[in-house]
Amino acid sequence: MRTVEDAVGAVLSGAISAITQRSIFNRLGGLARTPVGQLGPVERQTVLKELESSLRLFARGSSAELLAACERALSDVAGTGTAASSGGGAGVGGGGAAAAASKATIHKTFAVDQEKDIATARLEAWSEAVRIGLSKFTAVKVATAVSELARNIVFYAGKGTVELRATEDERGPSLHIVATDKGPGIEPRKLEEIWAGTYKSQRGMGKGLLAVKKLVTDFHLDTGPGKGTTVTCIFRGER
Amino acid sequence: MKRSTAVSMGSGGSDGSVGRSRAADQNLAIIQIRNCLLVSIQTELHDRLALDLQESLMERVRIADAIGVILDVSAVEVIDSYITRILNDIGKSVRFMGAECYIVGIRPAVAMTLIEMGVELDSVHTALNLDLALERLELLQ
Amino acid sequence: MPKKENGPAGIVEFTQSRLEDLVQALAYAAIDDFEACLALMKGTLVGDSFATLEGGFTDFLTQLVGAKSDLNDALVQAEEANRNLEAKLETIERQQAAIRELSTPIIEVWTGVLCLPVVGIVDSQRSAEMTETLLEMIVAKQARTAIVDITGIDAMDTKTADHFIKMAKAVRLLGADCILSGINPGIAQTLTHIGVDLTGIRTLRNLRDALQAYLREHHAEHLRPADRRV
Repeated sequence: MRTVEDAVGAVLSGAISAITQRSIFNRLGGLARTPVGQLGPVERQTVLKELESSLRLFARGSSAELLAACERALSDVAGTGTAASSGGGAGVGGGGAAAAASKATIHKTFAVDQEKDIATARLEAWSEAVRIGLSKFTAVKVATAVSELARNIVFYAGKGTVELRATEDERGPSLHIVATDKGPGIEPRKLEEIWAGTYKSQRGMGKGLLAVKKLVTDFHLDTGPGKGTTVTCIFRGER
Repeated sequence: MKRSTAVSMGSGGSDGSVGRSRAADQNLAIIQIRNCLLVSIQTELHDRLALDLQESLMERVRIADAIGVILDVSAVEVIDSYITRILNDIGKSVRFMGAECYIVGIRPAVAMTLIEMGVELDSVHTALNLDLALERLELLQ
Repeated sequence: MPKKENGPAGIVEFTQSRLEDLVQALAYAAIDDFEACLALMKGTLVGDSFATLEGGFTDFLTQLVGAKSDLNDALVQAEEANRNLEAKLETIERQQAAIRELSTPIIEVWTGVLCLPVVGIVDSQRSAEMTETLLEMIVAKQARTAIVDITGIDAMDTKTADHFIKMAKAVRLLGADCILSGINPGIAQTLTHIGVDLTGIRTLRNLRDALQAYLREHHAEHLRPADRRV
């Protein structure tokens, strides 16, 4: 929830010192902490008047422009303003923009349509694993699992996607892999054979899924005739 | 290599009459060392290439009357169940021709991954290096 | 800058410029330019009540500057303390790594023979680390035999046993021999119980037996070439 403080602070940072901003918001009192979306027209005017007198006295750069920018920020109910810059505005209020910048999660998706895409997906997965700090042995496991999944997509469905998402929590880094295709899906009986280790397709492809299941920390399969196939798995590393 | 004596490159067998193999065309050189054949796998072994390699090896084993085929996978960073099957197939077909197949140079991480996946390299033997593979092959004689 | 002196008490005479100066000084303060601000206020003379305001303002501002400088110093100190802390954390991590290494030494007891004595608690992370180190050493030293001695382990649950079986299988996959020594009856029972396939993995009662077996079998290799019977 972007408050008046957040919105105005973002505009004013760099133009007015933190201390002065603080005193303006103090004078505004409760109004400063009101979410922009909940600001009524009269309240908005009050805020703008206060800003106007302060800006005329104190601001570097054109006060009229700054005021206009503040007015725009206060009308921006959807709160789609950009993140607060770290200049003078940083210490003010917090909330909104600052909270979103917690652990970065990188998201990558690859189309897998032909054989050479298997190698690409493999390499990217390996790089991600290394980047987030998984051990080099684990990185090879990651690459191997992605190789299996990508190959299954190409051989059974013709095309699909492999999605990589790297995250980090208190337990350590983890890499989420989602391999999706809209192919024929796997029928329940075949699935039983796959998990039992007895399934073998003509091209000898049956062992991949079971192999992936044994390699990963978490494994989830969603499939069925006509449903396509989605494999979700997670590799976790140590802190 | 301590034991290398006659080393012939590419597809020339000891009688020199065979034309260039397809596998050699795609940079998979088959080297003959005494009565064994050595191939170093450097690139992605997709379907077509694997089949070509299998055929070339069977042919060369026949021509050279080789007792063994050694596949060097030290440059291979990932071996999944599909590649395992290709390697097993090569092992089986070479066995048909009366020779044994040795894989050398498996990387530690690859070995661990294969074991964890429960995938078996059951139609080939493994050795730490070329010398040991040659030694074992001779002992099999 | 024209200034006014004391007028009759209660009447403050000042020129517009004093007021403007004060506002200007405020403006400077607002943008953190305290130097300009204080420079502007220096010209004031003590005197009328407006001057009291000016003086008060100047005092206040001087305090502010002082406080800011103190704050900066505190920040610098905090940063240094932080750096110290990080250095200490690094040391702890290094020591932990050293402890881990020490707790699983892999010794080359003979040419091409590695021995891994396992002592203590083996959880999945430790067994993964041990396996990785053992495999890497086998390749690095081109060691043909690895003896994994588990004399130091009293009991094993099925999960741990599974880790060791995988370790042995991985060693074999590299092309080396693996000998498991020091299996006590309890562990032997566990292994039988989980129905594990131990083909290719030799099991011997203790390290001495394992070494003896190795030497017997590889006796010929370690003779000098002249002594070898071909």
